Order: sequence, then C-alpha cells, then structure tokens
Amino acid sequence: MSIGSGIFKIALMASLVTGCASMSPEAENDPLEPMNRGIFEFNDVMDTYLLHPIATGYRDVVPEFVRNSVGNFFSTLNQPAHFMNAILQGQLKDAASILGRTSVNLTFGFFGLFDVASEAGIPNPENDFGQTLAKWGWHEGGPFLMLPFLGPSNVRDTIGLGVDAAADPVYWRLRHGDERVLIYSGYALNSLQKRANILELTDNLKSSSTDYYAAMRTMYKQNRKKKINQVLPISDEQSNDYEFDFEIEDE
Amino acid sequence: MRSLVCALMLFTAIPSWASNPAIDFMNGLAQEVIETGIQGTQTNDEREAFIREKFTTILDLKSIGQFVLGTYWKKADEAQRQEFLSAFTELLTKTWSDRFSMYSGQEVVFSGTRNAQQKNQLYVDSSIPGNPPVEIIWRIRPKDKGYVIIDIVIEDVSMAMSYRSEYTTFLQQHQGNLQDLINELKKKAANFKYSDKK
Repeated sequence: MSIGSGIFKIALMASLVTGCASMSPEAENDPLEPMNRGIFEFNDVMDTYLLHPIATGYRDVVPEFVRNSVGNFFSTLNQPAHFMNAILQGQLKDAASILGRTSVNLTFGFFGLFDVASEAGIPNPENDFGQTLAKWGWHEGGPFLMLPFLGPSNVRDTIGLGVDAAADPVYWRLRHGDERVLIYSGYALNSLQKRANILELTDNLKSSSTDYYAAMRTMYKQNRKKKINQVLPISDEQSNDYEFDFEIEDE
Repeated sequence: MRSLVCALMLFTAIPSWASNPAIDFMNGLAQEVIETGIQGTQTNDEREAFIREKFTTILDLKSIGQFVLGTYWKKADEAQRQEFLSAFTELLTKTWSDRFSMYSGQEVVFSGTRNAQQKNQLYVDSSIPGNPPVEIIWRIRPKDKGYVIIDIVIEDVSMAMSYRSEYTTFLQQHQGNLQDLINELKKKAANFKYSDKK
C-alpha cells in the first residue's frame, strides 16, 4: 500500500460530511456533537472488540487474491446504483464507464470476481445519491452526523445512503424468506473486507490523534467535499478547499 | 509603484522559471526518502531518526505549527510555542515514520506546478497511478536556495487543515489550555504504537 493511497483510504474509511465554500475548523457544522461523539465511542468500542479482531483474522487467514476478489465482487454489485446516479446527475461519461466496466468484469472478470476493467484502464467513478442530491441543488449537506455502525455522514448523505441501498438489485431479489440471510452475510463480508483493507491506517490515525473523533470528522468532510465538487458546475477556484490562507508570518 | 510592477512581473513569471526546479526538488526528495529513509532502514528507530532529521529541513515547521494552532498561536508566549513545536514535530515524526513503513514501492509521478493564491507559494501536482489514481498536491514555498513544504493535500484532504481542525477542537474542549495539548502530544508520542504490518 502506498502512503498516498493509505491516507486516501483513511479518508474513505471515514466514509464507512458539510462542506462550506471554504473549510474552516471553527465552522464544523456539528451542532449534535455530544450525541455524535457518543455514537462514535460506541462504534469505536464495537470496532475495537469485534470488527478489528475479526478483520485482522480475516486478513491473516484469507489470501490477498481471494480478498481482492471479494472486494471486486461487491464492487460489481454496487454498479447498478452507481449507474443510476450517474444518469440522474447527467454524468454521461461516468455512466458509460460504469456500463463498460460492469460488462467487462461480468464477462472477462468471471462474474465480477476479477477487476479486468481497471487493468484495461476503465475508470471507476462510484457515483452516489448524496452527490445526486447535491447536483439537484442540495449543495450543503446539513449538520454532520455520526451514524451507528456506518460512521460519518450528514443529513443529505444519510438519505443518499438509504436510496443507494434500496437501489441494490440483490436486495430486491433476495429480500424475502430465508434468502435474506444471504443479504446480511453479504453486508457483513463486505464490511469485513473494507475494514481489513485499512487496519494499519486506522491504527496509525488512532495512535497519533489527540482527538480521534475530530481527526476523522475533518478528513471525512474534506474528502467528501471533493466527491461533491466532482458533480457540481463550479469553478476550479471555488472547488479547491485546500486553497486557504496559510497566514505565514514575516512575508 | 515601479517596485510593485516589478514584484507583479516576478510573481507572474513563476510558472515559466520555477516549474522545473520545484519538480526537480520534489523528485529528488521523493527518491531520497524512498531509497534512504524507507528502503535503506531496517528498524523503526532508524527510520524515525532519518525522518526526524529530514523533517527539520524539508518542512516549514514554524509556519505549519503557527497555522495548526490558529488563534491559540498568537496567545502563546515564545517558550510555549517552542515547546509545542517540539512536541508536535516528535509526534509528526513517529506518525509519518509509521506511514512511510507501509510504502510498498508505488511510483509518485510529479506532473506540474501551479501558483497558490498566496504570494510566493506553489502547488506541485503529483499522483500515484491506479484506478482511481491518488492525487497528491504538495504546497511549497521557496526558502534559501531550495523549497520547504508547508502542506500535503491527499485527495483534497489537507494535512495542515486536518491538524488544525483536530487541535483547535481539542483546545476548545480544554478551555483553550495549550499546555494540555502539549502534554497530550508528548503522551501520544511517548506511547506511540507502530502498526502491525502484514
């Protein structure tokens, strides 16, 4: 794992979000912070005593190529929701990429177990319904929210999560009777897979943070702003949140 | 007025004369960190020693420290500032030494430079190839005959802004007591646990 992709994954893990035109730590838009911190502590306890140990065992026992195939399989299952969102956002290039990569991975990638599309250089845009709502005008996502088990979000993106989950064709196919256990098993395995990918990085962030909650919140919000900006028709200058004044003395 | 025009000409001329030196600087630095600091060290202590020495020369620690403390920097006296910078640098060294140890050989491709909105600062764009590629932006400024890094932005996540957000939140929760933050940084550095790499 590279350093850069590592930090990127930390930011993404934080995606297990309210931008303002210019990020300022004094304006975190977190009016529910006490409640959010409580949920964050609950999530952290669940992670420390349950998910982290299981993910460590999973990573240690299951070979990397098998884990990659598990990740590829679930990524392929998410493509219908990504495609729907790309269309709703008017991102036709993204829609074409999603269609292309799904076709390639379902055929040459043996039902999505192998990511042949990425090898061929086909992008993986991962459009979501939170972005769609932003595109439709809900630019600021509302107050920051920490969701039980799912992690950081905001009002807009929590709605987006629900719509994306409802757009999962496997859910609609298996939602009745005993087959539901397959859905829950799939969700569990997918979460385990994602957690196993970022074990060292979250350990690093936890070890080095004076306030783990605040560190996670700001990384998630900055990274999420980038995803939102990808679908908004605003200028480069406006979209660069890292363009803050560094307030360097003696210049 | 004339000096202002000259200054503006100099400022707007940065892309034409500074893009290559800045990229050369970053390329040289990346190579040195990878070859000497990561591949050339065997233990955490060796890597830490390399990173500690390197950070004092390639990072503009005073500017970064000043920025991450925000208004609390202005309220602090010189002794507190120095104590904060020392504790911050030590934790930064251990944190990034651990992160560097996760490096597994991917290439960082430097693609160009841009002027920052603030005078005398540049962004060096780079990426790690992949799907999607990971974008890394280095915010640098000239110092002496080279450059110093003031921020690293990975996928639009600014490290400086992240530290500032984290530390000011901590300070808000501790009635603005900077000594509490300094003590916490020291405690974190002393108890820092290296990741269990697989």
